[in-house]
Amino acid sequence: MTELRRDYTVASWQLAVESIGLAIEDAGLKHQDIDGLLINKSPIEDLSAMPMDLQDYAGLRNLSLLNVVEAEGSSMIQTLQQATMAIQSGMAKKVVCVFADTPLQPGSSAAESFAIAMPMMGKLGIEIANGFYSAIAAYAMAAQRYLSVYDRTTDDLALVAMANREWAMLNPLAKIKKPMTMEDHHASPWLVEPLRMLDCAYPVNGSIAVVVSDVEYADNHPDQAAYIYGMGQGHKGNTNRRGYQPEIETGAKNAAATAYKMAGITVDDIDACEFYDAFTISTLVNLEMYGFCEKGTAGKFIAEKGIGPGGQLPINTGGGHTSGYYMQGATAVSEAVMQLRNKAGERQLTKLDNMLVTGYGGRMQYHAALIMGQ
Amino acid sequence: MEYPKEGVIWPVVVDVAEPFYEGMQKHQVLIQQCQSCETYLPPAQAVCDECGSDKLEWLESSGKGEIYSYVVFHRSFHPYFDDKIPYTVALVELEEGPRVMGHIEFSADQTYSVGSKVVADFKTIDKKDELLFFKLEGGENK
Repeated sequence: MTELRRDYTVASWQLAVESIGLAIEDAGLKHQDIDGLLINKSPIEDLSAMPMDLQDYAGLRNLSLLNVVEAEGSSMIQTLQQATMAIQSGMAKKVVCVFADTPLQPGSSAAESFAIAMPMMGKLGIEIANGFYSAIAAYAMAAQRYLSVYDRTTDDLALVAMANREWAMLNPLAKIKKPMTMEDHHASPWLVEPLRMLDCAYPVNGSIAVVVSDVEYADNHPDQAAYIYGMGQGHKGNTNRRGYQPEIETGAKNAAATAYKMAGITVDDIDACEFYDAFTISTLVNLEMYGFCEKGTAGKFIAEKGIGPGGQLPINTGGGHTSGYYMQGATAVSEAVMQLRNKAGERQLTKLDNMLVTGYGGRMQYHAALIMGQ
Repeated sequence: MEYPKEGVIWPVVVDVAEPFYEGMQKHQVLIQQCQSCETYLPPAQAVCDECGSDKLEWLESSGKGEIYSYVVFHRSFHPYFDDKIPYTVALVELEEGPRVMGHIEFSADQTYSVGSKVVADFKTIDKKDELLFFKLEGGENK
């Protein structure tokens, strides 16, 4: 992981070169040991920001696996999945998965990068003429549907933001650590109602890389590795007509079914979760779709069981996207790996037999999940 | 990606969506129907997601529906909308079943929520294009 900054220094591929080097060194490997590179380019950046020849910039000349994986916010999890499949099939043994992004550009705010560069267009494209800009809008649409159908209030969203903040206060890497109360959430300005400033991700510039290796290497390495037990995907599309609610009944359910089965577990065996949570609404929907509680009851689940420090189901233990740092799908992966390698300091969890690590993209229509453990 | 700073941004219309935009210029809300299984589909599809048939026909919706979900923009993300915030954009479920997006316009004394009845209307944007929006049924427009 590079330094995560709130200003622009260098381009994404340069940050990626740095994080790739750090990950290889941390894994006890040399550059010539790496035989796979899977690149997670940010959807808001051009391909030139993270080109295929990142291989050359990073000095990786022995590759038998190379790809730019594009599945929006689910890409980082998908790179780990592809690396795992490649290793199991004998195509590679040491695969680097890397993400980098520079939403903070010289002379423009991160909000502009995410808003103007990414109008949320469906097949029809009419969103753009309606001023339906920014990912926030799509998630606000999901949030309003959720709150109305299940007769809930934005206080459910606040519970997610508050738990993230509590975790962030224990994480040296987290960006926002000021204590947050329900009143603070109420006072937070609307951006796209029903989502407030405090419901949104906190963008940073930086890069995160991990090495996925063969099990033999991990087992025999003196430093503790994190293991992948199961994985799955679910992509249900945007069926925008009566009888379907793609905004709040997502493909995460399908990703969960495949991943739990592969790992030989049920949802009851999950000790902690690292979710993609660019907007607080998604944690509510994820809790329901990954099977932790019934539809419309995530707020009650959080209030009763707790997802913050000391809670029964720790979620986003580094502060998530809203209080930790927004490195898209790499945020969840980085925090999971730190926890599973017992390197999470004050926020370290003690029981981690099965951790659910997930990513989603688009308007929550692309989902990928890993079951990981120690 | 750079967009023009003046006027509303009009999408690059893909072939399959052309009839919807042509309909809008004639003040019609066009949806699609599968000629095989009769499912009404939101614009613009190439294949029916119910039965896989590519025999889809365009037809005019009644324009009546209800709010499926909505958002209120309190921040402008483009200069055209700077003097229009707060504005409401909804997904409207037409009575035939498909959902389409449009602004909800309402007067100060009107309230709305998910499930409110709305009806399609049109207004001229940038003195050239007709854009679909929805008004609360029975309500007066600003």
